[in-house]
Amino acid sequence: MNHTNNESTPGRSPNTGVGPGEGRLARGMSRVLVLDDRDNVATCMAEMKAGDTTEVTAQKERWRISFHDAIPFGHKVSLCDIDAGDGIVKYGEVIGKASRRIKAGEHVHVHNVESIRARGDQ
Amino acid sequence: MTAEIMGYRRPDGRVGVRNHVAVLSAMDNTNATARRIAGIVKGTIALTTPFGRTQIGDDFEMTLKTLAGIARHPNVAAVLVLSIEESSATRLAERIVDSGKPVAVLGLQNAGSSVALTEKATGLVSDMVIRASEQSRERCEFSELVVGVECGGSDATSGIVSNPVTGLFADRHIDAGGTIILSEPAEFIGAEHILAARTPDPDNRQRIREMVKWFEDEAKRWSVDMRGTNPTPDNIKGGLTTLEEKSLGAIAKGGSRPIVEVVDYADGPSKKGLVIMNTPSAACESMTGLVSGGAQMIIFSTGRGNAVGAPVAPTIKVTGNPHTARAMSENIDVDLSPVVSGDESREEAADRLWEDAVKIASGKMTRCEVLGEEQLSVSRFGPSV
Repeated sequence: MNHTNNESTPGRSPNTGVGPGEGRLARGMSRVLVLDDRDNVATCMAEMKAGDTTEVTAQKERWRISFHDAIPFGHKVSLCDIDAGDGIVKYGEVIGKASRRIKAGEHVHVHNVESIRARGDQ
Repeated sequence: MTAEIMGYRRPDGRVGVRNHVAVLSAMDNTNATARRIAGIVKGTIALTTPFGRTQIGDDFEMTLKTLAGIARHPNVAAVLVLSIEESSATRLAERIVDSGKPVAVLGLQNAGSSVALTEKATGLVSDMVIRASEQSRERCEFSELVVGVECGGSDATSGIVSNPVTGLFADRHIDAGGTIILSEPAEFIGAEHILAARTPDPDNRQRIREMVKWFEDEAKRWSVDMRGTNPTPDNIKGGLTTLEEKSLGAIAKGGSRPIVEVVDYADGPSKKGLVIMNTPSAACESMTGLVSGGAQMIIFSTGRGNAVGAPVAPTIKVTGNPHTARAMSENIDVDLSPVVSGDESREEAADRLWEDAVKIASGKMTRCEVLGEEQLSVSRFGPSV
């Protein structure tokens, strides 16, 4: 079992760190990157196709991601099922909430996530 | 880690990394003449502003303060201030003279025509350039510099590569005794608790919270859905979904050191270390504030690509996005994308950025400088009347 090195303490910088893991490129980044152990999404540092699979570590567990959608470079994939209204966690912080139920392996973006902050429209 | 640079020691004690002679237009109607003069006399730059006439109150004060800050800047050796009438040029020049550098004023109506003004100015700034060229660079410490950190055209790589690498640079500069200014509090929304926890002084902590709240309240006051404005369409295309996500990536460029001071737009820091400046999120407005506050250099981190730089201060463009690094190589000074390909660690990338910044401080030109990619944009807070 691999661990990402992202112990979290209040007042730290958001964790943009990279831990060891499978699918890791040469010396640096994973193709699919979990930035903090509390995260429920990973960032794709390569274009991913529907049907691709990879494994990552988050929330002290090993997750096998089976890509439901094609995901562009830099975009996010869900590690697990996320209920509508639940927080999307990246960098160990809530970056928004699910606007509908998101299944594991789905593309996580503006079509299924909304900001909580600065919402003058609500 | 300290580094020696070759810089210009100015009468006010600050270090210049450039030796510009500036033709500063105090208002919109002499911008064309300022640009014409700068086109004629080598070694001069035009500093122009789209407003300046019939501004009132705090808004006008902000414009005067910001323009004066840029004219007083240590990268500027001498200044000619132009305006429609000599009195409005003098009003601005009075805020510049105590920096100890040569300052002159000319008015359009006093000269007669913009051609006559150009003719008068050409001889005057020619003398200024020749005198400025006699000044030579001397040994200074890189840690004497104030460096502004900026991001624009952000995407997912900004928060994972280019901003954290800039943050490593910021930590190293602060540890050597330098100053870093982080700005754009609207892009602290969702990340302000992290900055607040790094701010030992309760008054500064409160100011950061208030700055963020002001921007958030503005979004609410206009009943707007910020999505599409911030994050911008290019941010969204690059994988950033919410403003909170963008903010968490954006603050990484400030590094991890404690926040020692919070300053208003265009104000200079009085302390060394990590400083927060209150600026809007538009890069040109923000950088104009950073430079007016004394930043001798800017590190500009981009993801999707953004070519523009600050006036007067060399702007070092960095990206961690391999596609942008290829497509935009003519605009990128330091390519950080080897971090994504796995050829380099972020620490190694920060070493390269540091080495380049030291060279640029001593005179190596940036991509923005050779292409003239610079824009002065003073923030406005009220109407012209």
